Amino acid sequence: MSLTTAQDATFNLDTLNSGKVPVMNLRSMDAIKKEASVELASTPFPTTRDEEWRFTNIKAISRSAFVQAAPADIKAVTYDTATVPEAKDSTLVFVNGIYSESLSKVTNIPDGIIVTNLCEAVEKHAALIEVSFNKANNFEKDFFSLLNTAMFEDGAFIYIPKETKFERPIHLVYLTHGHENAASFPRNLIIAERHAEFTVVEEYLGDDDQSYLTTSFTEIMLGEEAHMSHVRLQKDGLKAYHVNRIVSQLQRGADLQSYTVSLGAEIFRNDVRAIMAGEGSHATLDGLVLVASNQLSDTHSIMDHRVANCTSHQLHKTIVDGKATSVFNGKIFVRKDAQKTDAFQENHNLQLSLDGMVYTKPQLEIFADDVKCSHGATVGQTDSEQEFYLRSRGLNDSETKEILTFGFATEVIESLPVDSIKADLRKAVETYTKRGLE
Amino acid sequence: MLQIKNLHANVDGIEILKGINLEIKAGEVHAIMGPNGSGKSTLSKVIAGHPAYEVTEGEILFEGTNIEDLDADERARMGIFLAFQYPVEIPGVSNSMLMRQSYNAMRREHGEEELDPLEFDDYVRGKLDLVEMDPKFLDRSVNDGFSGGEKKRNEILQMAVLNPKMALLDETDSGLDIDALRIVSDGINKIKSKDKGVLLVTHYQRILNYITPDFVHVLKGGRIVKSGGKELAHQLEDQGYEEVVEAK
Ligand SMILES: Nc1ncnc2c1ncn2[C@@H]1O[C@H](COP(=O)(O)OP(=O)(O)O)[C@@H](O)[C@H]1O
Ligand SMILES: [Mg+2]
Repeated sequence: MSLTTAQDATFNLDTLNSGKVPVMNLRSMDAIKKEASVELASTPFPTTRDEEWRFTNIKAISRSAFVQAAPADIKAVTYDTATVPEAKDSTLVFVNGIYSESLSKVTNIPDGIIVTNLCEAVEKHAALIEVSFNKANNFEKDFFSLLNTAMFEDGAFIYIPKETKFERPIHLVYLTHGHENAASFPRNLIIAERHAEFTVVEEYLGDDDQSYLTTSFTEIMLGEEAHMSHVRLQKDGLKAYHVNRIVSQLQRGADLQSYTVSLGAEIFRNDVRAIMAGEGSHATLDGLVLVASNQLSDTHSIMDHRVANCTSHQLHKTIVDGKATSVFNGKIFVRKDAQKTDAFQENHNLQLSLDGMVYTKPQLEIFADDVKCSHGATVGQTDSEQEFYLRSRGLNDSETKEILTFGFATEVIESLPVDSIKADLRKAVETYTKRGLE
Repeated sequence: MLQIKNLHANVDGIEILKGINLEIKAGEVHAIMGPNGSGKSTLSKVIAGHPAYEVTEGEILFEGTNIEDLDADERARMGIFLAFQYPVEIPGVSNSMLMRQSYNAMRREHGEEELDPLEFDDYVRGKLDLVEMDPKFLDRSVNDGFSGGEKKRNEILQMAVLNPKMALLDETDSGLDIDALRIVSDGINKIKSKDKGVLLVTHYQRILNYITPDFVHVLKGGRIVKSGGKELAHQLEDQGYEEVVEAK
């Protein structure tokens, strides 16, 4: 396997040169990369004048001199795959966007299931990749999707054959390490055939002391009646910029339970899309965002009901402290054939400080007439009757705020499919609330 | 134990309590009865220290200390407990987590060692029987999805755990069926003792068949308009508030 990176690895986000893209050695994939790179050259960098970016100013990203992350000195990086014990033998680790075989551990994978990195999949499973890569991608003229497609060097590849249940969660770990202004572009492709059942945890980690950019993209294709549990943990360093896209394509009766938890990064932009392309499919896209100090976290989601009898669920909760900003834009499309759609969306924002900003916008576009869509949004401080109740039980002001903040966040955490991650997140919430109230 | 002198209290600038006088000594059970809107809940919340209510005149002494400037949590740690008429739901916070934190807050106040989760679990299990509650309630979110009766039992469970000196029970009996009323009353009877005071707020007389009050007061329009022994409760039940109060 050879991976050729463009010689001049420095790039300027505004005028990204066409042509110089990492080569994957698979003709169809390289053609897609090349095309993305050409399109990118004529795609303007988003500004707050764009409707989709109104509240999210990312000038800081275009101003920084990011360079394609150099392969890290692997000896300097450690990761213990037993951190999530349920997945200790099914963990893929990527460092600066590149697969690290030595840090990963993937053993005893049942026949037919593929858990590997894209570069290897290109060599060994080229046919599968040819038919599925970039096929779910419905981001058009989107700078960061194009950037990822043009620039990615590697990522995860997961394939679950039909009628197969994989009991252990598959843990994908993305570490950024090494130098200031490192940019990496993990690209993941997840395919499940009919009646497959599995769990994937994506986790993004990085140091607080260096600025870096992660532009990630995950494509998910779920066959008929396939069940996928998906957790995405964004625990980047506090100087990081992270722009992510996830798009999932659901066939008849497929079920996606996806939870995104965002704790890190200075600026985080997450675009999640679920396309219900087959009747009776269901997508849950829940989210929990904890931001403080000067963090900005922006979630733009699309629930795309294309056919009849599909259901969707979205509970998006954010806690905002300090001068942080939270943006939520939740679109629900119900296309004209999507009768009997049942879509639920709620966005609740807990503001712990007066300086924080919350922007929330549900956007329902309904073209069918027999549908049930509910949506609601709340923005506010902790509830005064709940506060009095706890105070009357002897808890002081800060204990009361802590426990209410904890309770607010727990609703999302309790739904997560992996116990050790739940426990870890409960601790993370405690740490957050304690930090927030000091 | 609790002395209330000429207590006037406002909410949103409207005077609700208009000069209440009441003294509850250790070991006594006082029932406060009165029609809806007479100020029963207001009185209990003012004693417990609800910040929305403003005391404009008079004073509340607890064990000789004026508690006017104390926050609700300070009063709670001194030993005042309010069982809510409408217990508040707190999704995401388990019953055991809340009770352990509360109990430890009390213990810290008294200079005692805090209990760790395991020690607390032993302690709280001993209290569950008092209100015939299943241990699985410990893991459920506070009052979240509880039936009316379960919420009231949960209030009494918390009271048993915190072991207050002064219990304010605001309509703990309403919304209970006969069995639940018996369970809750038994629980209260087991917890009460000669060194504790109880203020039992109720709209109906029936709980007084289980818990015998030493005094009964009728609250109307923010004033105590009549006081007497337990027979007053029966009289109220038979004749109604209007007649009893008019009769003087
Ligand atoms: N927070 C509040 N804001 C406005 N009015 C209130 C508030 N709380 C109580 N009141 C009013 O005070 C009166 C007494 O209420 P409450 O103490 O709840 O009565 P009870 O418990 O005896 O039924 C009622 O007229 C009620 O409407
Ligand atoms: Mg009341």
